[in-house]
Amino acid sequence: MHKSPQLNKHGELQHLLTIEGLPRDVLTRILDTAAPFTEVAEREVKKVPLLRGKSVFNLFFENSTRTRTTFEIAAKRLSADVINLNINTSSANKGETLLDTADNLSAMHADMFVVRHAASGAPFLIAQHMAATGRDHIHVVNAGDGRHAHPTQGLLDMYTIRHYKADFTRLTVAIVGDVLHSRVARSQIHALNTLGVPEVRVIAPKTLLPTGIERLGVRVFNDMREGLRGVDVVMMLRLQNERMQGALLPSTQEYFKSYGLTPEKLALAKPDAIVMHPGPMNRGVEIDSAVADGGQAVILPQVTFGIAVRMAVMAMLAGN
Amino acid sequence: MKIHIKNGRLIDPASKTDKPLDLFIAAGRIVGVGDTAPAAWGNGANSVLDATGCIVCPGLVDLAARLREPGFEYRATLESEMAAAAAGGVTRLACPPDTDPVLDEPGLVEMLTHRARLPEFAHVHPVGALTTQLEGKALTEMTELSEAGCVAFGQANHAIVDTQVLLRAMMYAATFDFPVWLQAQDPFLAKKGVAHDGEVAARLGLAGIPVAAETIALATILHLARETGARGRRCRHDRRRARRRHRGDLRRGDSSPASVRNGYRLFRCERAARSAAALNA
Repeated sequence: MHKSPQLNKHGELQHLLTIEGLPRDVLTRILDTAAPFTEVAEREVKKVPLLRGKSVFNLFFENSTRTRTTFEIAAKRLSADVINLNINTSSANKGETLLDTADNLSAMHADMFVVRHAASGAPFLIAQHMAATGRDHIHVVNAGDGRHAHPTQGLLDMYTIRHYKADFTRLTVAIVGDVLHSRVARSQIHALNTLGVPEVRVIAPKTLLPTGIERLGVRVFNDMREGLRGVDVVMMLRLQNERMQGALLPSTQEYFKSYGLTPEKLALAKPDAIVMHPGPMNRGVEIDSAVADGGQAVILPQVTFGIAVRMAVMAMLAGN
Repeated sequence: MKIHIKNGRLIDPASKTDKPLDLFIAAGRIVGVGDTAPAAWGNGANSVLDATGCIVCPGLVDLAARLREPGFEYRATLESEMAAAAAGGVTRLACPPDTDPVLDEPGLVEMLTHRARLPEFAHVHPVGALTTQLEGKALTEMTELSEAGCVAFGQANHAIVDTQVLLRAMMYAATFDFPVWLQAQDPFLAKKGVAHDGEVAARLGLAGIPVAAETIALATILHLARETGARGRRCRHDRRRARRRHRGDLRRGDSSPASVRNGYRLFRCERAARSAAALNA
């Protein structure tokens, strides 16, 4: 495995682009750093000065309200100045290249770019460009690039698992749904493997699984009942409606029948298994309301942990 | 003008030569190969080039050089591309028809060959469009285009989906013995794909192209070529499995040469893993 461009020569996090390639102790350090930030949210004045005076630019080339909002909240709780750029409606539409956009914004003295882009690798390209042009002080956080990676989601999912299950090395974890198109799934798989989870399963029809997915360190199941047997953690993925148009699936009803998480299927997992979902949920498509609103779901805590994890990442990258 | 190129490694595939040999050139023609000057050489050359450590070979031919003219002059121009070609030892360039406008009219081809004569770095041989606008529907005026300078007809990377059109285009070209250069890629299987469908594409989250995209299209092209007797070249041939499968056709007498894009030699999936963004952004 080649050296990670995310770590500087001292092994410190310079950017957060992908979980793949980060050593276990770096992941653990991020989770450990996030822990005290969960209590910041419970204070009356929800602020710490770690990023005071720093400018965080949210560069979202893809629409997202929830992720952008959580990054904004996290940055503001660290006392940073936050600028939101919804590039859909601005320069990129006028034909400005990605790197020109990055150059223009760095000329406005940004300290951090939080980037979401439809093309796999875009944040990596920006980070490489910043390094090549002597602007190492600008940190890049990948908020989701194409189908490649969503590292902060992977990290908050790991934080959630650690919160409820403590020891990664004793778990069986199943990821269910559209793995083919999911950057969340890829980040989850890398994180689970790096943190020592002995068995990572993916459950999906063949049309929603990438060729060669086993090589990433997972056991493939096409039968959900088989795949859920004895599992400690069920991680659901959202199914997008577009998949019906691409001849990947016939209908949401049929998908729900075979791959929707119902109480009856969940009963095959361990009795204390937790149910996770990155959101937003499609009730009745990948998950039954009874499960989403039931006692085993930890979907709302995931959101809360997400803010703390993002605070930890930003503090580690650019903290005073 | 007498030129003596000495101490070089002479490589000439046509005569299967690969030896240290000197080359003697007079008035633009090679007049001697070997250790000693030819009989009529006289005393001394106007120019002696010491090619120690160098390869001396016939000018290289680039079968798919995108010259960016007409239409894409913001990327490069004839001058810049031909200078780059000469600097790399490429003396003949075949340029594909996917310019803007497409090379499907004799006037455009004439304009291009006229422009290309000026820099004098290399020879340009246009490949004309097989169908108008590369749309895969109607035939181009191939005899007119050939007269204007086209050495072959092709579709760049725009597949002809209608197999009847493909059959008739090859048949028409075969009528005049015009070569047809085609890239074997099924447009539906390759739709939106940017990488080989496998572990690297899975890891990087890139849309993959299965091997079948080439093998299926290749089978179609070879069958139609056999039926029509069209002379051709398979462009951008990049799958071992495709070559193996069609070794049978080669034995049966399909003599179509195949070319591989230089990029494919250098830019395999593993390298993509290290520079994923270059493919998309």
